[in-house]
Amino acid sequence: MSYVSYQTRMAAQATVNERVEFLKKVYVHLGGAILGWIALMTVLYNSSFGQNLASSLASNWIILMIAFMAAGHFASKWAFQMGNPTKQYLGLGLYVVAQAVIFMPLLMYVKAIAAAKGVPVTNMIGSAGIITGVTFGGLTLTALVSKKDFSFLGRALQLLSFAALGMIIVSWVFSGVQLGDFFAMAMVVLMGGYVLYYTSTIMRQFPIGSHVAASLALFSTIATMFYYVLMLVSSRD
Amino acid sequence: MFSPEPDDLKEQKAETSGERVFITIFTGIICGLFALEVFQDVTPARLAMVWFFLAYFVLTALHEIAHAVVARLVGWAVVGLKVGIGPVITRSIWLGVPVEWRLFPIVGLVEVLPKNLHAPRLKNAAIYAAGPGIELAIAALLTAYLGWDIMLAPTDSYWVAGLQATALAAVFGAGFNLIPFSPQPGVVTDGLGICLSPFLTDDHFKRLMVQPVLDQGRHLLDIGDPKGAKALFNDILVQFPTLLEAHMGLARAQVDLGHGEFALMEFRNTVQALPDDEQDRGRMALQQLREYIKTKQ
Repeated sequence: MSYVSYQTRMAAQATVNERVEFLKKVYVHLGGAILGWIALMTVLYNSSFGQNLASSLASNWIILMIAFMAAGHFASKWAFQMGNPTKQYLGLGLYVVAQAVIFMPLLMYVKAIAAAKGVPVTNMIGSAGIITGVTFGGLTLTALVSKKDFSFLGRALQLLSFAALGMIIVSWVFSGVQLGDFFAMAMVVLMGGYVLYYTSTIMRQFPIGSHVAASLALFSTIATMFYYVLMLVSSRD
Repeated sequence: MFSPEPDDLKEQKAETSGERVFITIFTGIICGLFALEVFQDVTPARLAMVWFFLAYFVLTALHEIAHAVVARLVGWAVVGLKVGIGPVITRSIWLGVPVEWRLFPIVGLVEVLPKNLHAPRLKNAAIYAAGPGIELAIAALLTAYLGWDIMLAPTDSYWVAGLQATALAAVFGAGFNLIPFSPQPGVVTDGLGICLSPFLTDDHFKRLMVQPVLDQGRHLLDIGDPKGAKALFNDILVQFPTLLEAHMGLARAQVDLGHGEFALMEFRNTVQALPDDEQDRGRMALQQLREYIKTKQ
C-alpha cells in the first residue's frame, strides 16, 4: 500500500490539445534557453572578464566540473518543483549560466585553433551550430513523427554515460591521455540517443506543466552535443 | 548505499526484436568508438581507463559487502545484498543473506534492519560510512604501498598505472558516495545518510524493526486470514503503540472481519492523537482506509 498520491497527469494521459500545448511550451522554453545561452556566451566571449574566466577555468578543470555537476543537479531538482514556477525558472537559468561558463575555455581554444589555421572562428562555431541543429532537428522529428517510445534506451544511456564519465576522469588525472576524435564522435552519438530518449519520454512520462524541466533536459543534451561537435569541427584540417 | 530499491535498479527493457537490434547497434557503435579511443595508442596511461572500470566493478562489490559486514557486526539483520544493474547473473545465499549479482556492477544496495533500539543512530551512521570507508582504506593502502610521489607521477609501468587507476576508482567511488544528496526521492547517498542519522527518530527505527512482521500481517490480509492478521498487528501494537502502519493493518483486518465502522472510528481517533508532523501521513492513511472500506461494501 502506498501513501503517495499522484495529482499530476502524465503527457500520455492528457488530451491531444493539452499535449500539443505542453510540447509547444517545451520547445518555446528550449528556444529561449538556447538564445539566452548564445547571448551570454557572446557577452563573455567578447569581454575581458570572460577571457580571464576562461584561462582560470582551464587551469582548475576538476573544480569547474564539480561545480558544473552540482549546478546541473540543483538546476534539474529545482526545474522539477511542480507548482513553484520561480524555482523552475531559476533552475533553467542556473543551468544556462553554467553551460555558458563551461564553454568559455573551449571557445578560447577554438579561437586559438582558428587563428592558427587562418579561418574565421565564426565559421567553425557556425558549422558546429548547423551540424548540431540539423542532427537535433532530425532526431526530434524522428521521435515525434514515428511516435516510437524510446524509453528502452534509458538503461543503455545510463551505462554508456557512466563509461564516458570514467574515461573523462582518467583523462584528467593521467597526464598524457587526451581524449580525441573517437571519443567526441561517441559522445555525439550518445547525445543523439538522449535526444530520442528525452523527446519520447517528454511526450509520455513528463507531467503536464513540467515544460521547464523538459526544456532543461533537452537543452543539456543540445549543449553537450554542440560541445563535442565543435571539438570535432575544430580538429579538422 | 543501503536504502529501499531505487527506481534506477528497476529494469527498462527493450521488448521487441527491433528494439533489441537498435540497442545492439547503438551501444556497439559507442563502445566501438570508446575502444578505438583507448586502444589507438596503447600506453600505460590509456590502459588505465580499462583498469579504472575493472577496479570500479570490484570496488562496488566490496563497498556493499562492507555495509553488510558492519551491519552484522553491530547486531543488525542483513536481509538482502544486490550488486549491479541489468540482467541477473546469479543469485545465492551467503551466510544466510540472499545475494544477487547483476551484469553491470556500477551500483548496489544492501537492505538492513535494526534488531533493537541500542544506539541506532550511531549504528546507522557506521553502516553508511562502511562503504566509502573501505574504498578510502584501499586507496590509502595503495598509496602507502607505492608512495605518495609515485602515486601522483606519470609512469611507464603498466603495473603502477593499474594501481594508480585502482586508487583513483576507489577515491572516485568514495567521493561520489560521500556527497550528501538525494539522487531521487527516497534514495540517499552514503554521505547524506551519515548526515541524517543523528536526526532520525526512534519511530523510524521502530518502523524498520517491525517491517518484516508488518509485511507478514499484510500478507495474511491478502490471503484472506484477517483473524491471524489482527492478532499479529495487536502484538506489534503492544510493543509499539503509536506505530501508524500497525494501526492501519489492524483497521484493515477489522474491516475484513465486518467491523468497518468501528475500524474507521478507532483509526480516526488514532490519527487525531498523532503528533503534528505525522498528521499529513495520518490523514492520507485515513483516506486510504475509507477507500478500502468502499471497496469492501
